[in-house]
Amino acid sequence: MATHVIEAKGLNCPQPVLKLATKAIEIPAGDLCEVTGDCPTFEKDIRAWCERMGKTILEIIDEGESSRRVKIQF
Amino acid sequence: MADNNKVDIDLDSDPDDELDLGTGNKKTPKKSSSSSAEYTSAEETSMEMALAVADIHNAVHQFMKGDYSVKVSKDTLNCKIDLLKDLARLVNDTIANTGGLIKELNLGITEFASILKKVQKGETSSRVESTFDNAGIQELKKLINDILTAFEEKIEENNKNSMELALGLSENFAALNEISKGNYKIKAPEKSENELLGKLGELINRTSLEISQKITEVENLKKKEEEKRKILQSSVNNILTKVNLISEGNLNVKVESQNTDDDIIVELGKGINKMVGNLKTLINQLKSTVSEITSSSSEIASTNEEIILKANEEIKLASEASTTVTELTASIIQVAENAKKVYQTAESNQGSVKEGYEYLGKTIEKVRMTNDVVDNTATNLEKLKDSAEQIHEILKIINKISEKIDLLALNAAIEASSVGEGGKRFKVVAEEMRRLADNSISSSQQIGDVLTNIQKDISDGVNMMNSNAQEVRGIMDEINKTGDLIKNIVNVFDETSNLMKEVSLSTDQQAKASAMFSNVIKKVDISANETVRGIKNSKIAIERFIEVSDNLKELSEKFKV
Repeated sequence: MATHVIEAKGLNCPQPVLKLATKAIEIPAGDLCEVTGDCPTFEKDIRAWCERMGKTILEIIDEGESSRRVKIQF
Repeated sequence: MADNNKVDIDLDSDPDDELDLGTGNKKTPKKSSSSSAEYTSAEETSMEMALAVADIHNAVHQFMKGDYSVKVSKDTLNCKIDLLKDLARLVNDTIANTGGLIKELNLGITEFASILKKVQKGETSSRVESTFDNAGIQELKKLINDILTAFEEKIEENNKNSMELALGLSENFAALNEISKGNYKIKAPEKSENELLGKLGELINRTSLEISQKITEVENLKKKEEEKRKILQSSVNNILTKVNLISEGNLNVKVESQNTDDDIIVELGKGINKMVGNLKTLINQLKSTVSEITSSSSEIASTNEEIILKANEEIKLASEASTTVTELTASIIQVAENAKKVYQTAESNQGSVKEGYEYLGKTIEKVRMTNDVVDNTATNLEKLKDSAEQIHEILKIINKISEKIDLLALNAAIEASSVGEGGKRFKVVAEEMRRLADNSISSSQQIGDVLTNIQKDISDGVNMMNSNAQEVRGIMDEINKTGDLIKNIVNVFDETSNLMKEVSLSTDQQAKASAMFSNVIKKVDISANETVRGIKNSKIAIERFIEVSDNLKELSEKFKV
């Protein structure tokens, strides 16, 4: 089981979600994905995406200075 | 305040420094406690005024520095001088009012700036919280908070739309990804708040369906093709088995009709059967032909041996002939060269002889001319002799005339001497005539003598001339005989030269012919050698041919006809 990392810091809504969507087609089922961003709506946007695409959020880590790291189960 | 009451205030100066109100100059304050008793009433008033002014000055100064809670002291507010008392109250009120406003302004600006910085970072949820007494600032606060709320709502709406678009795109993107992997059962969402996303989903699903249908068609076609291929393979295998048997020499096979609708295979079977039939005929023919070839080849081989033997003999003869002809050519060339030399010498001598003959001809001509001159001279001398005799006769006549004139003059002189004076003159003439006649006689006699001598000389000359002419004629006869002789020699030379020329030409031609003959013989030799080589090669080829025909025979026997 591999972990795929997506860096979306400095990107504003909806860029992080689009980046995640682009990368998602390369991630096989069962793998993990960690996406990091600092957009004010980042967490909310990622949640919405996971809900729509049927992915599970495992953990949301607050890294300070508005930065969040979201772990997603594919 | 009136201009005459105007006080110049130095805001930066220390308010503890006392100010001279009359001049405005600073002066050292006097210690009131220790010396008040010494002041007069006027002085006390002045002092109070000064202290009040200093106090007001101090308050204004502190206010200007940012101390908005400073106040003029109570002493100054209770000052005896009304004007200063009013001024102190005014200053206190002004400081209280303006200071509060400035405080609110500072608070408001700080809060507004803080909120704007958050907005700049993308946070739009903060609002101005403070309450302001100043109506303007309070109004500004409300305006800013309303703008922030509207801005926040707009951003949220935009974010919502963007996210909807992004999520829709994600779904379609994922669906396309699955389709690209061959999963045509996946469906893209066709219902969306965004019309474009809805249409996109429909388009993707329609495209997927089309592709899926096409693939099904292709797969069906592939299945049909595969079935055809299997039948074809079976037919080909069947034919291949028969072909293998044929290749092993078994011509007693037949390709049966195939269970296929493939025209090519059917035609192939028919073609193979036809080929086998033809092969059978061919092999039979081949066998008999091979047999004939084998016997013919042996005959050719033995004939070849004989040809080689004969050709070798021819080569030997040609070689000998070539040597003989080469020697003959060499001697002919030598003869040709010699003949050429003789011819050249004869030609050269012929030139000299001809030259001599020509020279002799010229000499004969000159002698003949000399003879003619001698003849002419003799004739002329004869004529001269005749003329001399005629002169001699004339002299005789002159002599006779002179004698007669002399006699006549003598008579005249005699007659004259008888005629007087006139006759004397005539006598002189007559004597003169007589003397002239005597001279004439004398002269004619002398002439006659000379003439006689001349005639004698002429006669001698004529005789000599005749004698010379005789000799010249004799020489001429000799020269003419010599000329004839030389002419004969020239003719002989001409004949010899022509003969030699012909010999030379003839030997040249012979030499060339001989050389050509030699070349021909050499070519015959080469040709014979080539013939031998060719026959040897032919022998090898025939041997190989026999070998091949043997193999062919062996092979043809392998076929089961």
